[in-house]
Amino acid sequence: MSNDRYVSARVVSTDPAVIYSMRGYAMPLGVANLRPEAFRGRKVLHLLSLASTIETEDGPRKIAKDLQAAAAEFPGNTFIVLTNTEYESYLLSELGVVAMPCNLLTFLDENLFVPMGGPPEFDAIYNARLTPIKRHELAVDVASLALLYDLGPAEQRICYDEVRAMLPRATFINHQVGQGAYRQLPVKDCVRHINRARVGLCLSASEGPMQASMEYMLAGLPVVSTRSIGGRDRYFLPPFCRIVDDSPAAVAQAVEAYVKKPIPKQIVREHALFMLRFERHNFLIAVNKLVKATFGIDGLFKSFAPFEIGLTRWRSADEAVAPLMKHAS
Amino acid sequence: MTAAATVPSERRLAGAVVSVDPLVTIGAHEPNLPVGLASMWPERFESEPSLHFVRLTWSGEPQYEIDKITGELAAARRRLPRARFVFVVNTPYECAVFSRAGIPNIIATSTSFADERLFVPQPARQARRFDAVYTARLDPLKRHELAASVPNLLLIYGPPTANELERTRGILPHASFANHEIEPGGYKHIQEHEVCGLLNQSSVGLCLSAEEGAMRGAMEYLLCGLPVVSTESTGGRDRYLIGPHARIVPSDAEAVARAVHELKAAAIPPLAVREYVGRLITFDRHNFLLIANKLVERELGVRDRFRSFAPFVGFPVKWRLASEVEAGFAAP
Repeated sequence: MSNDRYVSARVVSTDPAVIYSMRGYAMPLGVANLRPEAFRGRKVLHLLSLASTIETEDGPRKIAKDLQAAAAEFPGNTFIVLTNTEYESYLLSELGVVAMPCNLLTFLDENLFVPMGGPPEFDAIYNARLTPIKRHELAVDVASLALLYDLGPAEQRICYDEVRAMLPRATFINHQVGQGAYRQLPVKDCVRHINRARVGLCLSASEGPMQASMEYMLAGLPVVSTRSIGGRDRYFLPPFCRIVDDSPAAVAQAVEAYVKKPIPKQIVREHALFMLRFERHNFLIAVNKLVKATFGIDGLFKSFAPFEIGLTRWRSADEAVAPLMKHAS
Repeated sequence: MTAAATVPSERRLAGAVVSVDPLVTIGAHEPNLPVGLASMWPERFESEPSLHFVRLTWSGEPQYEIDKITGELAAARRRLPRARFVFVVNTPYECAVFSRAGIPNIIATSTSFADERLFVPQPARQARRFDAVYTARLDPLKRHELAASVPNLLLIYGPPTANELERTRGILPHASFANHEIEPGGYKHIQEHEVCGLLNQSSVGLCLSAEEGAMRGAMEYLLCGLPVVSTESTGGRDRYLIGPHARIVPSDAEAVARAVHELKAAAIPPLAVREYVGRLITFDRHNFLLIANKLVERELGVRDRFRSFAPFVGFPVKWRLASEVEAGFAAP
């Protein structure tokens, strides 16, 4: 295993040992697969989150199998799957996999994405990789469109030329900033660009909870989304979001409706924060119960703070487990 | 599992047939009715596929509850092989413990099914006569003793035994016992609209048990716009105890009284409390609908069966005569 593998994982308590970690390719148990030595021979509670939907034919069974293997490989370790939707929890409950709903977006840092002033230039923005699953073609009828995108993992093919041909009128922000070449943008710049639009788009049929969907709302943008699998619709309540058919005309029409009748940005953001506070309140109650059941310790987490700061940020596996290694030595 | 042979027809039960075609019910896990409506009328679910949401009326955390439900579920599946059962738990932690036992479950806190039209803030026609109100059976598990230091207290309750009444009067000699005082001549059942009126004469609602279910009374307070003082608890009521109008205090009579005093002094507008909890319920109902539709599609093959939450409002948490619930099978 390469030493520089990056993971979305963070130790939230060293004594008792509680770690948040995201399940991923070649790491079905999160960072435990990359740094098993940090977890062997000790009691650890793993909060294992899911990056993408498990609503596939073999998704839940694979998790069940992986966790069965984990029991043998990591005795004393307890793995709880945090699902992005109640339905995912249901699917796992049928197989006896310990799971509870806790959408990944609960852990977003709400201070990064904020409303900014200035008149919007674009009707809509779509913050999504230029890959087929994101279905950029559904935005073809949006009159004024901006695209924001990262490159994703090296193995993923980027369809810049195809999307460019599909959406000739759109502004490809990362290439515009790079004067024709792709440029990765820092988060603060992304926030500024998102604020250049009136509406955020979510057009995939199936993915995870889609971080950008909550980022739009935290920045004060209402959302137009297709129906989807993965968990983003959890927060899509009217009047802040419109769920439309998989048709360019329906997408454009919904965008147009928000353009004609905008919702003040602070109201959209307040709605998002209200839901996040509720989610965090209930997560805190549940995680303290899990800690109590695992370690016999009451009220370990007095507030959401340990889960708040950069929980989902990607870091090297060594950095992620460092607090546990230090504590053990 | 036996049919109505062991369940008297005058029995009351909480639940409803929420869809006739396909056949979907919601009911409660109750004594003698472990899978709700399917326990009451199993013969109705023999010949066609059906889906049953079975909500919890008590905390599902204790292992003995899990063991009991595991056995009951196995029996129900044997009796009704075409039926699918989904337990509706009150807390995310209950999801985890039910999942560990392999009991199919979803979360939808039962108080989110309350009928918000029955409990509403009323125009302030008179001063609030009571510092606090406690809607709870006069049962020791409700820990009425923790209200002993609240100066001006109103109690609303189900029919008590003589011992329960005497015991509570001993603990709270200064309290008003609404069901015995509303009119002369012993205990009187108080209708929901009257309960609403009494809540509106109180400044704060109390929740004092250490363990129970999601506690219907807690939601009734909030919908009427009352701030709530609660002890720490197991069972799910704390899901909605968030915001400036909710206080969780230690299990101590002085702490309860202090919090009541503070919240009364804060004079939070009732409509603000109701609006706050209304938004939380709206969010939970939105997500319940998403999963209810997914389950109906997966188990019964019908997409988007429920366009709104309307079929689920009220009935899942309202105890009705069995005959009234059964009438739902004939609904169009």
